[in-house]
Amino acid sequence: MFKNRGKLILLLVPALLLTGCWDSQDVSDLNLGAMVILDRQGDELSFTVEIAKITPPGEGGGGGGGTKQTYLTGAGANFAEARDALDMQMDKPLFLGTVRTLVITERAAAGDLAEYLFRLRENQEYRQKVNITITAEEPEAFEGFENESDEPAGYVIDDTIQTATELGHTCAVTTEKYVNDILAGRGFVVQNIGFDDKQIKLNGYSVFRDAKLVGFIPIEESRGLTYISGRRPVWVYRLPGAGGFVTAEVELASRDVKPSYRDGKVKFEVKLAFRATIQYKSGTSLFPLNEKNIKEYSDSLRRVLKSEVDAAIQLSQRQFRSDYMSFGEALRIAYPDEFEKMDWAAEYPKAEIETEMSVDCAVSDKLDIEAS
Amino acid sequence: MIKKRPKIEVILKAIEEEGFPLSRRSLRCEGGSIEILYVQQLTDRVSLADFVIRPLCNYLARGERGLKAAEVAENVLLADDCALQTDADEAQSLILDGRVVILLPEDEQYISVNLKKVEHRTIADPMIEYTLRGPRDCFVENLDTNLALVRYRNKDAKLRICQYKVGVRTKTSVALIYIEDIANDKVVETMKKRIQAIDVDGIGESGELEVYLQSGRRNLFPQMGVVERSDMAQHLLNEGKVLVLVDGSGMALSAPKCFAEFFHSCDDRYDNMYFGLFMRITRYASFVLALYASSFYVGIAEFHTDALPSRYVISLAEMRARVPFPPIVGALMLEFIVELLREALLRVPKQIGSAVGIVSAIVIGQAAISAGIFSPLLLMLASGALLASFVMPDFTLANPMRILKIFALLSTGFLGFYGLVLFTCAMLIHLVSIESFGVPYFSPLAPFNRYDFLRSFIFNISLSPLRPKNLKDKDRTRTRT
Amino acid sequence: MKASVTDRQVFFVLFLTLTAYTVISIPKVIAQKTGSGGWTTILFTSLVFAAFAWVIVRLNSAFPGKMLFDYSRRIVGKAAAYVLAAYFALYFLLVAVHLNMQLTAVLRAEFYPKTPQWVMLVATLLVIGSVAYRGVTNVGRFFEVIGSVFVLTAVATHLIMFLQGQPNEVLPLFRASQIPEYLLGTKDVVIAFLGIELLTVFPLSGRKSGRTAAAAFLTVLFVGVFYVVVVESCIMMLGMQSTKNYSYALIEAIKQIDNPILERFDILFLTVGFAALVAGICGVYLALVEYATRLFKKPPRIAVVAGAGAAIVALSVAGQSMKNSTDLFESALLIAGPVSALLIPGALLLTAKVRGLVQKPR
Repeated sequence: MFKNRGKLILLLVPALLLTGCWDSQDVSDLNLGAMVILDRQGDELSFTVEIAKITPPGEGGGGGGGTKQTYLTGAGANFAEARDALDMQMDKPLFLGTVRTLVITERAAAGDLAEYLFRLRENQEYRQKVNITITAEEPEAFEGFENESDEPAGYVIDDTIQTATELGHTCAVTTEKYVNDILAGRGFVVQNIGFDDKQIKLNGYSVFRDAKLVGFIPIEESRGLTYISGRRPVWVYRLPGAGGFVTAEVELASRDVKPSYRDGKVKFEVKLAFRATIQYKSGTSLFPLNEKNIKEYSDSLRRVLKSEVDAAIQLSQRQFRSDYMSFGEALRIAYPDEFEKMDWAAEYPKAEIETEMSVDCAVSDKLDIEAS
Repeated sequence: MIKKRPKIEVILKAIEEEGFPLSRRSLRCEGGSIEILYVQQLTDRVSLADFVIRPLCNYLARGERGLKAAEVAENVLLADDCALQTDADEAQSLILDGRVVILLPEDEQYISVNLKKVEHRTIADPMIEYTLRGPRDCFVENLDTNLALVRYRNKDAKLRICQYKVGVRTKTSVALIYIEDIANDKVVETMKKRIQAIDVDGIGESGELEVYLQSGRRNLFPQMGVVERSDMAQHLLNEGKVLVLVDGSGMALSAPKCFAEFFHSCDDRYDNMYFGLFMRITRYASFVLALYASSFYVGIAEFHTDALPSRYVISLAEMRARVPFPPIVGALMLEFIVELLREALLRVPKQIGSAVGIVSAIVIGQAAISAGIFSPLLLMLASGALLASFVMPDFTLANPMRILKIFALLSTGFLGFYGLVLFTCAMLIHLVSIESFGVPYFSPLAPFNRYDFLRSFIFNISLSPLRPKNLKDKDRTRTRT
Repeated sequence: MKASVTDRQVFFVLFLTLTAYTVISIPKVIAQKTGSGGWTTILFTSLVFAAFAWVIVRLNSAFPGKMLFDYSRRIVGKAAAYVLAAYFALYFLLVAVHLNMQLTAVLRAEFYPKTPQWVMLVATLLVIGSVAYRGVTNVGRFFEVIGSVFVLTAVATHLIMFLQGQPNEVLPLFRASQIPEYLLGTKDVVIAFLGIELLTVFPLSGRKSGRTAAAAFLTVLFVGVFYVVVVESCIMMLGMQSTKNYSYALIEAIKQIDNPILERFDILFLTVGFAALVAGICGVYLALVEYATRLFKKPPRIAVVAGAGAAIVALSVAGQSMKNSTDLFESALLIAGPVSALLIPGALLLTAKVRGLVQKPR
């Protein structure tokens, strides 16, 4: 037998090759999803999928309209039925690997988000870095979205969030972190988006406790949140002072959260150090940016920052009662045994959190503002 | 009774019976006639007249008696290469080899004189080992010319040239060259044994000889190098390698040869060390591109679409929107067309070569995309792979690559990137298992030798003080500065 | 040519075989059993196994050019040597079946959900068989190449994971109150270090045996450090809670890596990582073939390789249809592994020393 081993191999290898490539799927035979919108109307769940329009090279353009993406909706009593209803409308299999944004309406988020996030995690097709956002808009509103470059809405939303993250105006969070927070019993915030005159806009944050939607933080009130939770938060402030207004770019330089646990009481000392760069003055009136004035602006800024951070902390403790700023993590690291024994969700609203700000204010190196 | 002169009669009779055409010049002398036998087309007739016939005639005119071959060879003939022979059976081979055989009436011995003159190509520029810098003299089809080139570049007293006749009918001259106090004795002995063991009708080219010298005739990867340039030959001899020259072939063979050496070029030695390193990296990258480019395309387009960023996936889908064939089929078709192009351009007459090239580019490139037969990305990758395959300095590595590329494609078409991984593992185990005359083929990577690795991959090999360890040379010291 | 391997090849053989499959699942095991202080468990276990790796190399070096079957005939007699060979052959068959099943399960779960497992099994075994057929020396070289690429890629990948991950997830690094859990966790980590027994089929030249033994010892310690790096970086990327949930936590963690070129960074693991996995299984297959050829001397090597492959396929397919086959295999390995890696080599070395068969190391 083994004298003919060459023939045996020659038979075996093509036989294997010809049995079919089960996972082979040509990319042009797929419906490429760009965005998925999850909604709930009463007891019915619905998925709306935005499918990217594929324009072969040399075609496309010419005449108005006709370049919008395709939207398909499937509804059912649960996720599986809703998905089945959606699949029944597909001329080609749906490919979720190109989905960049998952939009969940506030109605759907008010229910238990955990099941959907676990479903998301189990589905290998989804990108690991897919953005989850909450919206108060109706799913139909997204169909009216227009973009000059004909990009799918899902991509524009993702780009908007990425840009905001790069500018330091928001906290970037992956789906895996949401799942981790749910499993750890922690609260979390999810970006909330909407439309502003048919343009995508970041509205703020939807707050979750026990994987259920409990509130909303407008973007204007979210600076404190970004200073506690964001990676590299940067905001611009217009500060009053004796001589007039100055505009300064404020960047968080360092963040230190020091927990202490004594006699059953939890206390946090939050020290935030900021670096402020004065960029320009208001008006043409000349007022000197001397040491005294800069100290004034620095004090004014510190007061503003402290009020923002304190307000953010109070909001999380008093109104939402959800530790979405992860103070519990600092406590867990410092006092792991005690943390394991306590009910942190109940303890957090009672915790004493003191904040201390320091601001290092300087004039921008690029310009000599005082040169006459 | 006429006294027979058995030797000369035996030889002449044998030649007549064989019936091959040759030229014959008789000179009358005391005791009979001197027979001068030669093949006109292989002999320098001017030298024959000046160095053999005229001196003999002058000698005979003096009325000398009792001509002896030894005396004639030493004192009469003016040719430098004269040999005394006794074997009657050898005479035919000598004549067919281009030598002039002089039969004397009163002597058992005869003389063979080397007045060989064969028309051959002059030394020209290299055609396959072209470099920007460095000498341009390369081997030709004449063994003597080639040996002259080797001798000219290497004046080492220890340079040894062993000559053999291979092929029962063609009796092709094969020269084995090595430097005695550097080359590994085992390699030399193995080579000698293998040459002497060849029993075939004929050998026309070094490529035919290579098949018999390699261990295992079914090896996909070449175990010997092909050398066209004399300076490269000199470098290899100094390295401790063995060179084989074949009469009638303009390509020499060198052994042992390792996989990494296929990526070395003469430019690396003559140019700046950093440029040499840069070019070697480029060659390795080209090898990977040539082998895997189409497979990556098939893997991404068919199995692992989600590996690409989403915008690229949409671009890829747009490019493939009108293409009717699955990626694997398109890739195989395009590879076939590329191979057709390669073969056609090799054999097309020079006058219409450029026209054919332009037509192919336009037809395949533009028209195929417009007709929606191939995706532009696939075409670009296939073209890039084709160009990359020409980057290898030693073209003999490009041939197995062309075959392996198809297997890589099929493996990827079957099981995606995992199939490609399995293919790579299979190819790798094959490469590490081969030995070229006792030297592991994949050294200095496996088995790893740090000194050889650094010298092969990073530094200029000509400047390294020691010869590679894997060759097990007798003298490892190369430079003393 | 006498079959032997260099120190460097010993390093890669050990490294790739030990990490073959375990590297994918060890983050989950550590996260579940010991939490963020699990690095202590790993390092402690690695120390124990490093010591026994030293024992095996010491044993091999005392009998240059021979593998365990050959020198055990001298130490314990012919009959006992055959019993040992049969035991090791069965053991490596069990390990090969388990590893192949796990490999195909991972492929199916992460990359090829529709491809039948037997297809992946047969395709893998064809390649692994061709590797094992080439013998010890060539397999050693094969490991050298694959191992070099894998180590470089792994180091770069885990460095990126350390930079992008959340350090808070792995803190606190040590809790004194968890010391009993850290010690108990050793039994769950034992499987991660099974593979040192592969050294019994790699003959050594006997030259510089002290250095080879030290290399083996340090290699196993290095594997321990590598596991620590893998576990900590996974937990940093996924979070402690998520890591407990994923069977193949390493692949999930690699998917989280942010980079501009590949959307799914685990494609790198599919190529380089699985090449290392395949290499690891090749080592086990080679060991099975080496013992089998000693037991069945008459058939040609290719017949033994093909027979072993057929046995692996048959048992793997049967195993896939059984419920809880993975647990069954792991329970069996928990007992058979330490016997093969620790007990038998230790007993052989002791017996050889008592009988005066062990020379001093050179």
